[in-house]
Amino acid sequence: MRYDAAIIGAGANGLAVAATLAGAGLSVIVLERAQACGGRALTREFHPGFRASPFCDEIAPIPAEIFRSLDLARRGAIFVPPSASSALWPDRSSGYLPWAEPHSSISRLLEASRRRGADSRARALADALTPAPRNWFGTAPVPAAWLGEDWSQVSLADLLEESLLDADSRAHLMAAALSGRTADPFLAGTALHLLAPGDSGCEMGGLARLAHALEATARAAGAEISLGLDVADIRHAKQRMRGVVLADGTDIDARAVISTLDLKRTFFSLFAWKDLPQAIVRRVSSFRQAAATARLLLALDAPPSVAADFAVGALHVAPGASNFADAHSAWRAGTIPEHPPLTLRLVSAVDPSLAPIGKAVMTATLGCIPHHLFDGPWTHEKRNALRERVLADIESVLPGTAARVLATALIVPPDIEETLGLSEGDLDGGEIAPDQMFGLRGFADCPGGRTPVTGLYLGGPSAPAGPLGSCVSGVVAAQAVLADLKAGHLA
Amino acid sequence: MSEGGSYDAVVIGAGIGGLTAAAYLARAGHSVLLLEAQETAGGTCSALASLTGVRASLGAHTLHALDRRVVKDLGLVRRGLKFVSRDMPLIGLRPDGRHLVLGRDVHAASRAIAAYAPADAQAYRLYRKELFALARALRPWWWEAENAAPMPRRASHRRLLAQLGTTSAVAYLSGWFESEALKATLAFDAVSPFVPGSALTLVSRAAQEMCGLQGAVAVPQGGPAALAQMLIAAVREQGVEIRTASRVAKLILAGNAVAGVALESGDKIFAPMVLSDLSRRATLLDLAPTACIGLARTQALLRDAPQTGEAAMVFVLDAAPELGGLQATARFVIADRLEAYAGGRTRRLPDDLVLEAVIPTAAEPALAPSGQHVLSVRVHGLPLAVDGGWAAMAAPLAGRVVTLLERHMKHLRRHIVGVDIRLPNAMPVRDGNSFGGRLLAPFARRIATPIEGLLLCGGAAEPVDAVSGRAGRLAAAMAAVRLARERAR
Repeated sequence: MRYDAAIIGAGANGLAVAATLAGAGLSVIVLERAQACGGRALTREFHPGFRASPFCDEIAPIPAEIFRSLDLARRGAIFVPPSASSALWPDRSSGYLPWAEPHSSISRLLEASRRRGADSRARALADALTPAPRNWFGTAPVPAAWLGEDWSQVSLADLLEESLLDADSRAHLMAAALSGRTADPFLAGTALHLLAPGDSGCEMGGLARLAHALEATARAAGAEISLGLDVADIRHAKQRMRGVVLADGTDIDARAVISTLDLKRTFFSLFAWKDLPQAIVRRVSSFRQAAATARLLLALDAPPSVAADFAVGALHVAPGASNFADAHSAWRAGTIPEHPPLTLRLVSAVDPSLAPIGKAVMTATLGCIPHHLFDGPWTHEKRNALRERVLADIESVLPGTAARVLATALIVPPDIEETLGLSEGDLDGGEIAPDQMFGLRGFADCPGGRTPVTGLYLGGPSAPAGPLGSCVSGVVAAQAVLADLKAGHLA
Repeated sequence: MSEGGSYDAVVIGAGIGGLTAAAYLARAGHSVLLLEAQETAGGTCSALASLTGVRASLGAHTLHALDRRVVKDLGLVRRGLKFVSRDMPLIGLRPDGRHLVLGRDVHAASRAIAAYAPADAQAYRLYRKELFALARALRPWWWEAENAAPMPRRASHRRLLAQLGTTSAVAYLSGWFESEALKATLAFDAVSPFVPGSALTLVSRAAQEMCGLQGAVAVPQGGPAALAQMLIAAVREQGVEIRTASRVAKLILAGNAVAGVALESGDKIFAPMVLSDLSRRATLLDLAPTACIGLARTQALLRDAPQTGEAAMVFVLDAAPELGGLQATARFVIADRLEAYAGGRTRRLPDDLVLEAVIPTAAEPALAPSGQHVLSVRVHGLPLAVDGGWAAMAAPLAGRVVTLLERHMKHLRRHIVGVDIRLPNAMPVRDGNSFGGRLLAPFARRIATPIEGLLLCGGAAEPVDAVSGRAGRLAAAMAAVRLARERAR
């Protein structure tokens, strides 16, 4: 079988690549290991009658121009604009809702982060459109300064301190930026975490619906989607892609291969180590991917006592910077923090179809949970201990909740790694750090998601545009493929 | 208030940088006044007065970056500069006794590492190779005042630099090695190894040259205090006036240019050029009039406060420490875990300490009275402030240090006859925090300040704080150019 492009992974990015390339008239095949498209955009039943998305409640925003160009609205994707998030403190009785003030300094800070995010996306796209002749590590120039780089020498704590007078707002915004992540907010460069949350909205009907819309778009454009078969190997000769081999031995010829896997998995699971030049092995092995996210899904027999104003948005438990620093150092030591950073969402308040009538679904997103514990693998006891700890923390901010719990499901980093195939279970596809952002993410010499292997592209979270929004790195990689085809690099 | 006179240039601070700058300016025929707040010149290198008969300082205890041109131009060899230890190996002391002896011989070092992690032994050779090649490529860039030298010509070097400028030393070392023991030992030279950009401090260390050897660490005869004495002699010989016990209170500005300094005694001294051996923060925030550099710059300086401090200790022993067969003329680093470097973020004494110990008397017995020895210790990664105050913590800290050292130096405690400690809060405020921007800036930009005629000539203008004299030499050259231009006008 021969195609113009083979795409590994049918998550949001993979489907965006397929739709873009097929729309341009190329013959395209998407190869997905799971039985359904969508990747992390998935909603599943975790207790009879109760449904939730196991990995994330909201995916990073799809920029408006990509949403339009993929024609997602017509396929049934409905985005609900983000609701104001609120912060809760264990030692206070009432919540805190600062984002309601439209002209506050918070809005200015969020506006600044949005602008930097948008600029960086535009920059990634521009890089994709200029084909650079290159081979292995060669002649490409040092990456020029990216917009948003001015935050890479600033710590999150400092930036918030300078911008916001109110300590509660600072704690709130920090909790929002670091939700489900791990970072020492006092360390220079952590301000970059503000770029990533952006203005995420949620998808009506669960995230699975977005996946359906993307799949429909890709299929309508003429892309072929193959489910249930893993890609086992990449065929290449003379530093040039030839195609991929599936787990059942099927050979697929392709002029370009776009991998939406992360950097480590792309290179270390699909290539034989010995085939790769030392420089690439060094680069890939020094790329840092580290998981920090765990999720607890809770089926409740009645909604918790949260004021209606607060119920629709995220509830960040926000005790301040030193708690994050402590949790981060516990994470680095491979232990479970005493109070993991916690974000609660009453997802059934936004989308009642997720729970039976009168009941409720709540999710807890935990940060600073290590993938590798210092005392060995995750066992049943350790999971139970974490569950108890989190339930106690929830009880302290929303009293009376523990008694309403019917069932729970806990997802820890190894589960994410196994299900989604992300190395270390890192949902960001690489640590958010100054040396791993913008032009320095992926391969610094090969802009626009290209790699030193001609014909292999990164369209996933480890690509330069990876953490800057959903579908963005996919579209950037697709544009790079089109530009290289036009320039004759992919004969 | 009285007039304290007028000079071509005033140098604030008689540390190594200030002394070098003053000597060079005077050599070029300018009238120079050197002001020192303390009773004696020499800065952190001056010998302690508290321990009788012992010549040791609580500043630098080894040299790794002394500028070759300074040695030559100021005739330091003629004045007696001689090194007693030329190339001290780095020895990582491990609790289990499998010490990491990392000397110049890469093969021997690899063998020591192989006992821990066979994979790291091979990686260590490649690491040294990359580090040293990168360091050589960067040298012209780091050595010259004006950015005449281009960035490294090889694209792979430029790419690596762009990356390392934002990479933390821990991340860089983790990309090479697996063994925590090796990473923690090597990270010591990066000072704050978790800070983005600190990977470049490792490159900058490797770029230095001592006694003709790249990346060597040496002890001069008489210790760093002797070096300070030689520089003071050189400065005096050039006819520079040194005023000790004269603390500068404020800079005097005329418009956006510096016009002189006002002393705490009330004296005013006028000069078209002022060179400061202090940190950028201390110079621009404490000495310059409030907000004269603008809000954004002030904010950036405030942001650049270091997060962790270091303590220095000098122990006088009545017998040579028992080292169990290890070479005594070495740098002993105790860093059990990488995590220990992050200890300074809390307000209490960290559980794990990281420290470097040197025995200067092993190479030169003359530094202490006969039979006695000196053990000089630097503890990194301490908080700048602790609950209960540092004064109360001095004894517990020293006790912890001795206990830690006693693991490897038997019966150390009973041989201690004298001790002096400098606590993190007593250390002059360093610049810190963001390494990348500072390290990759050309020298001239680190020396210059937003105030016209005000230059930095000390550690703050170096790529990384170090006893080097290079910043003093280059700042003096920049000042001389400016003075010549004014004179022509």
